[in-house]
Amino acid sequence: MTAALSFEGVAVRYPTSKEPVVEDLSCSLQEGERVALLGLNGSGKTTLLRSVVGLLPHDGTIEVYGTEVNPRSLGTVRAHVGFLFNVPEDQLLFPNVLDDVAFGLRRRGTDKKDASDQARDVLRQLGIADLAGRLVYDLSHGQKLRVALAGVLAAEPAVLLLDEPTAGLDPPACRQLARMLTRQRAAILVATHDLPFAEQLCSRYVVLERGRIAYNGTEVDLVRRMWGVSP
Amino acid sequence: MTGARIIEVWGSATGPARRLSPQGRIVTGALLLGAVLAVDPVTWPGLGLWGVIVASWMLATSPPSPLRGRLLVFGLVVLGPWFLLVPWIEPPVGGAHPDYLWIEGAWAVPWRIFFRGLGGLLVGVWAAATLTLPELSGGLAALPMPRAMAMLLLQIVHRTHALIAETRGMMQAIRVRGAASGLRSVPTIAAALPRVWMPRIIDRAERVGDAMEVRGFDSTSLGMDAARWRRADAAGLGLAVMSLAGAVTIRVVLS
Repeated sequence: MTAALSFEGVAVRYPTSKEPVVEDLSCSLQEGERVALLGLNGSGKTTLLRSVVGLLPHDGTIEVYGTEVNPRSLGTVRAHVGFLFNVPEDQLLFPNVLDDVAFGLRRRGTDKKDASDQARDVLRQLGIADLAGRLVYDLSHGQKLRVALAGVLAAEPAVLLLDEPTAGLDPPACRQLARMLTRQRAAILVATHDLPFAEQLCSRYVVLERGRIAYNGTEVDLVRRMWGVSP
Repeated sequence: MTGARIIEVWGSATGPARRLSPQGRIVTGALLLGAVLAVDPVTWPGLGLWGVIVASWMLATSPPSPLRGRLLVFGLVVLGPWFLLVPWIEPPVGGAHPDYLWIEGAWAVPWRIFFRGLGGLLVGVWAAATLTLPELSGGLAALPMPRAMAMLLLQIVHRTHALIAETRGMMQAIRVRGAASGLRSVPTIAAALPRVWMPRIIDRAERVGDAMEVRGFDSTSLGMDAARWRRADAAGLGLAVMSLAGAVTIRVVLS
């Protein structure tokens, strides 16, 4: 069975640095699987996610449903991968919420009315249908995050990459977000420091330490011990 | 004006100019902006036309009173100090035309800067006030300009709020972290802001660029739907063209 997302001997370095931020990383996600990418600041979580969508060059092999990520395949890869950036505001490209959420659909050729209808559906599923007509400037951080997520989900990605989605959210909002995400069929790789969130959402944990995998498994207690957090 | 207030300007006007299509409002505003910049306010007819254009556009757009007041104060603060340069300005050579005002010699220079600057500010901001941001998007898409330029303009406006909010946050942080409060902190902030501000803004621009790339936002994108022209546009555009023609004529004839 083809993995939804796989890494084989992956190393990623920033163009300005000789030292790789991520090194010799190999792991994979199966279809519909939800995996938490855990690690301290600077451990390489965001770097790894960015390399999947071609924002950073990598060595080794990254594949999305069998398609190797390289400069020629980026269009195909990005059509299948939804990326939620660390700062949701950065990815809201239109003043109006509905236009922004519908954008991914319109880009795929869906006509305006259908795209708007489907965008409203996604907003409804995320419990924010009332935001459809609002301007993004009027929204709180949590609302912006959900609108950005709606924009990603509207395009029905097969793989979802989430970069610190709970940053700046209060605990009830984190729990609500995890509940929303568990309803998605996409394979999810979520970079986070938030262990309770990871526990609620994911069935497997990949812990990065200085760019290398320190743990890859299902035992959350082991992760807690690694971080010195009591259960 | 704070970031929030600047964003609130968009779509805040309630006057009859909003009956024009979004692109009609953009073009009318641009033509009137051209007219107040072209007109020579040192002549009586020029000053008269300037007043007619500004007053008519204010009535047509009906911007909220606070916006009018703040803009006027802002214009006075920014453009008023030009008059302080008069002692150092070389008076232009040549006699005054009979239609010239009492403003002659060196005073004519800041006078022109003041009226053209103030006119441009008022007409431009009031034009913006007639457009909500989605209308701006539709209006830009309907105009015969490259789609990439339209999208760039929209993104500039769209990001203004975030940039201003970020700048304000940085100013507060600089103040809290060591600069004195009140006016005494101004030089410290002014010196530190470019050092702090530029890397942050560049970083943000890179992040937004990454998001655009990943989401497939490019010049061929379908996110902007062209608005339709309306009958009322003919009246607005006609008056604006006449204003511009009048301003140019006055300038040519009396110069």
